[in-house]
Amino acid sequence: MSDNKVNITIDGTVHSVDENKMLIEITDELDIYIPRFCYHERLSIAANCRMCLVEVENSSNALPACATPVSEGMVVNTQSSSSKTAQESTMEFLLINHPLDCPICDQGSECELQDLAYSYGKNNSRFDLLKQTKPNDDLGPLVSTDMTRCIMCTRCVRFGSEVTGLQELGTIGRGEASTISTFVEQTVDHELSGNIIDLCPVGALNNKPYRYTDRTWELDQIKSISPHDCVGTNIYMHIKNHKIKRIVPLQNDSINESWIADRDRFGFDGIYSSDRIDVPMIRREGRLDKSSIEDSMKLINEHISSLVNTNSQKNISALISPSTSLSEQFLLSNYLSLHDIKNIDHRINQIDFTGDTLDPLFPHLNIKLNDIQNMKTILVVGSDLRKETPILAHWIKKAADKGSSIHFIDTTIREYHFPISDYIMTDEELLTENIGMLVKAAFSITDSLIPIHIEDKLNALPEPTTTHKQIALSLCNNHNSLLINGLLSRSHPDFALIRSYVNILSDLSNSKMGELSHGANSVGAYITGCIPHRNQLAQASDQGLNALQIATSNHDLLILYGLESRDCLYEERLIESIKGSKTVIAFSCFQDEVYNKYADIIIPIKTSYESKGSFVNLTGVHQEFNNEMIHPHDYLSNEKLLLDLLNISGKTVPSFDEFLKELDPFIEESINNPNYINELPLTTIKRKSLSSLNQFNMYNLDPILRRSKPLQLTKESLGNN
Amino acid sequence: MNDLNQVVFANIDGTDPWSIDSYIASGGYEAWKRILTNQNQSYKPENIIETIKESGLRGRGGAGFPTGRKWSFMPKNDLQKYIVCNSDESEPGTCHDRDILKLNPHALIEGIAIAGYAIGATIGYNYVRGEFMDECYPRIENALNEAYQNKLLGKDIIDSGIDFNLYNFIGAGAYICGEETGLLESLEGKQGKPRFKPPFPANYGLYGKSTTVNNTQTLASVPMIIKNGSKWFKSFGTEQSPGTIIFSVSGHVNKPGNYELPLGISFNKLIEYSGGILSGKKLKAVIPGGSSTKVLPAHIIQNCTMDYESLEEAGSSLGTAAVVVIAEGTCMVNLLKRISRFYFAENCGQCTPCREGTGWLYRILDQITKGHGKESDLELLVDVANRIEGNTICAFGDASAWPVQSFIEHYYEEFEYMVKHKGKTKAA
Amino acid sequence: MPLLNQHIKEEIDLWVQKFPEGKQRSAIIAALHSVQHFNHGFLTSELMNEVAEYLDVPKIQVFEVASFYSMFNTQPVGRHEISVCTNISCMLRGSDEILDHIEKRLTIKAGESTSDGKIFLKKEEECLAACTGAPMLMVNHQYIENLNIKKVDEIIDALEKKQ
Repeated sequence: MSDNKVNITIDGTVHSVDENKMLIEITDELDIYIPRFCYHERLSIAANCRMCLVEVENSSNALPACATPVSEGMVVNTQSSSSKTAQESTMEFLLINHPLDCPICDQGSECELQDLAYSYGKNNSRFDLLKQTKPNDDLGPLVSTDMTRCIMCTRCVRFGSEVTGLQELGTIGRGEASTISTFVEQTVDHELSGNIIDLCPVGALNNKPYRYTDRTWELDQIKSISPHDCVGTNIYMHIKNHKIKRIVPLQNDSINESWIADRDRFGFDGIYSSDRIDVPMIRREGRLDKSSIEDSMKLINEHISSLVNTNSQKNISALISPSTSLSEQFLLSNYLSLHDIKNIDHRINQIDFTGDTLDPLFPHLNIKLNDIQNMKTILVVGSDLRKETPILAHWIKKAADKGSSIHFIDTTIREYHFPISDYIMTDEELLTENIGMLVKAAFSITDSLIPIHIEDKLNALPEPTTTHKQIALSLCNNHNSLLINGLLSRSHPDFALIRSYVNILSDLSNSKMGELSHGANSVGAYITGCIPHRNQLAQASDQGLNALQIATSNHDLLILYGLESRDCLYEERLIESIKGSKTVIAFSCFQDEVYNKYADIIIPIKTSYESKGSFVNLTGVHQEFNNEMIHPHDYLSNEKLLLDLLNISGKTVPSFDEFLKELDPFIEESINNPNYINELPLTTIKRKSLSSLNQFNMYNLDPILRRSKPLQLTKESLGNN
Repeated sequence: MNDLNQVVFANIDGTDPWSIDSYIASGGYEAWKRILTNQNQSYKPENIIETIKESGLRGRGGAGFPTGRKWSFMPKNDLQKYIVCNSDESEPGTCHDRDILKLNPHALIEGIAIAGYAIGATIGYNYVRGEFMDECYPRIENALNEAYQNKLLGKDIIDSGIDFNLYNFIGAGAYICGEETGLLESLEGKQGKPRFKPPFPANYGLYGKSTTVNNTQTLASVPMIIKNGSKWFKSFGTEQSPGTIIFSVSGHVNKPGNYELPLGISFNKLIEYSGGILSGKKLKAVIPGGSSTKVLPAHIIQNCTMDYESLEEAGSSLGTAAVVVIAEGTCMVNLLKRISRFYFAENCGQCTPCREGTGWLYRILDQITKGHGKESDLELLVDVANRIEGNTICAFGDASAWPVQSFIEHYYEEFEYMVKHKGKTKAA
Repeated sequence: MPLLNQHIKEEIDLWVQKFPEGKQRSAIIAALHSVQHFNHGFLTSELMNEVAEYLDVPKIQVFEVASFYSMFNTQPVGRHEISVCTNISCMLRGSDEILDHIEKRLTIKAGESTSDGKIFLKKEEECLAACTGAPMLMVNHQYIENLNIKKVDEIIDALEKKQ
């Protein structure tokens, strides 16, 4: 890009500005406002609204600031009467057919047209003819349409063709009759589609579930973090009367740009499900009775103490949701370890634990998310990428749009809306083998000596095909290459071996690497010791039972925190374990059939949407949130609950603040020195996979999502793909 | 009458002038062959551009931009470039390109090939309006086949080292595809919505590559200019408007037709060629260059010569040289309403002023003709037109505004009368 | 169920060859002409879907084109199309009477089709570039110029004899 500067005069002041930028970019940087509708920094220039027309000397007409490149000596008068006249003309034209819907339009008070009409519109209209109307499409359960309000800025169309790569909406028709539509009755289904709600400058595209409920000025706004995947998408929650009414993006250029996924936007609806529980239940004589928090905590402690006193800690196990906050994980993990209970895990979607000793300090991506777009080669292994992490898939698309080569090794052909260099499709059984063949090819390309402990394994594999070699070459020869190991890999029976292969490949090709993890805070779960093979901050521990072992055995005491059996990959097994365990304690937000039948103590807890807490995302960014203002008065936080449990037990409460002090350096050190072990797992037991690995229902991942009414009405949930 | 048909129509009186044999017999493809064989080493691309520059040939599609200068905007590099011929003749009143396609298609083919060579384009597209699909598309398609059969197009044409491939493209009915960037969008398979400029097609054109778009008549004039020289072409016309142009004379004349005549001919002479005003009526007004040009009352146009400068001075423009003659007794209000209806129907809908404004203009006029007009409507019409003019992505906005402005300027009393008399026309 | 027959596919293939590799979107207009002609004058969403699939372009792009250009009909219309030019040159030479007469004769208004599905009277807004032969009309894209009422009646008589 040119480093050249040019001198231009704006409203009488001379500025030295970057050559080749558009005038509107310059004025935005200088905080000089030029009105606009169709211009958006993340979309291509359309120049069709004509709102940004400004006077430029030596031009007979006003010029659109969004499409006029600055040049040496340019003189611009943004406040002159000819600028104003042009802008007012545009405003008048926009308003002649625009319906007077403000009183009933959701966009009212956050409407760009309203705002600009205030400055550039007239008090009365010269137009006394019939206003034109447009028909509405049903775009699905998430986005409402009132196309008569549309000003044809085409931001929504450009979002599809440029950002998601899937053009779902088009400009249908010509002239005055043109409208935005799918033309044929069709819904808008892309996982990022909700963002067109924010992009639409008027009330043509709105948040359907939120429709007609509130006015913007009635809402309070708090910053928060979405709890549905490991990206840590930044959001704003809009709250009224202590309820979340809607969620919109919070711009974060290094994580999610201006976008959020549909599940980040609409997932929260699940917390208002009619099956929320708020009273603890204790089973007496086969029946669940209401109880109090104090009594339940006391009872839990009694159970724990009696087993600890008989040295039966090994018969106590705990499974914790990977979407719990750092403080919850810290407290629970400490509670158990203070009692010498080793059987704790969060990895309820993993079945191969033979690689535990080879685990990095925590699963992570060792570059920033916004650096993904600069990678020249990316290989994605075992991932339903768009559904696992929509925002990460978006960053990879950005890399593809810049010309990077993207390769996949997967168990089925998936639809991606960017050019793909190679796609190795294999069945689940052979996924491991194919990655091994890649490693074999990489050894050969880099002319490296194969370490003895890997040699036998690699020799037993078939010879790499041309495609394998191509991919390996692409990775090895590019300075900026990246490997991503997805959630389907993590759920694979050969996860440990796959992961080792990926590690070795990363080493050979000098690639960056990223491991996706389930839930919002698997990273935190590793760090706080919610794993059977390590304690907090990766300190050594004696080996406890892993998630699969926990789920496939009966216990004297089984604790389940923040999850339902449906969250678990081996749901049926877990239900059996719940049935067969002597005492089951469930900390849950919602009613669950299985708990209602078999749990002995059910404690209601809050969702992260209602709590104070933090998550660590996959790049090691620790993000705090404080959603406590949702509560009208004092409430029992999950933190307080667990602290009570600790207090009753008489154990010394460890200091979370002290832990936090050690957290940041730990994370930084871990990412810089990840301690990847390029060994292969000692054992690889061939196991029949426990569930179909090809499907990944992105709206059924956790208890909240599967209760979100709008999301459950989408094509993804209804299975009409 | 030896002023008539000297350049593009020079050979159309022969038998089957559209056949390649007839064309070659009358000297056709000689210029192209000279280039292919680089006769006298003086047919390099820069020589061709220079010749066209010297000839003063101006774009015949309406804008009148000097053709040689347009060609010189093309960058000199080894990247793929395109030459595109705009045969989307749709400017109301214009019908001469149709005759070129029908009667002298080879002149066009030769012209496109020469232009392509001059600007470094190895591929050309001829965009023909959709409605011509049976009317003259078969002729130009057949002529193209003849050219290929005679090895005048293709790769390494007659061992010259020159590649040139030409394809015909058929449109599907949209006036806006006559705008050069709207045409490029249509050629790319999209809606024909014009692009904002800059960037100009010479830098970012068809498929993002450097492209020059020229009108049918402009390109069909090229072979004769190259064959006979720029001086010959300048011997016709005026100093600032050299050469000939095909006037499509229509409306209230006795012999409507396409007359290729030297630029600068007096309006009265042109009317003579067209057999005088229909049924001996008196002339009332003329739209000199297609509906997008401003109307001129009789007393003004009768003092004009038909060239770029004279008509501009008179407050209008030569445009496509589509001379629409209007006799006394014509209601100017209804005529303007028809013109406005056209722009309303044909606006692409992309930018705000056209999309919303053209409908407003038409509906106000409709109200006036139906007897519901108000006096303030006339000022409103002009103000709305003024607010469209200059504020749009392409010249369509201006084209929709100029008729309104000029009709009301020159025929205010007719509009006023109709408003006052609830829809009755003043015209007898 | 494939709706595009071999002949149409071959026609589309010929068009695709005119454009650079990967630019087959340029063939959408020609493909729609071909398909519309085959379907007796109008396009259906099934046909448009097939075109999109055959050309390997997003469906919405085909819909956008079909809805933009006035020669494409996305609603059922009569098999034979009459298009009367009423732009300025033709208006000055009596086009409005011609159109009026046709409307009365066929008992439909411009933009409508006869109830037997035979004739579609298109609402033509553009100038058809035959101004020197005004007034004129197109029948199935055949230009017929220098009209008068008698000639128009003959044209309709001939059409009504057709299938």
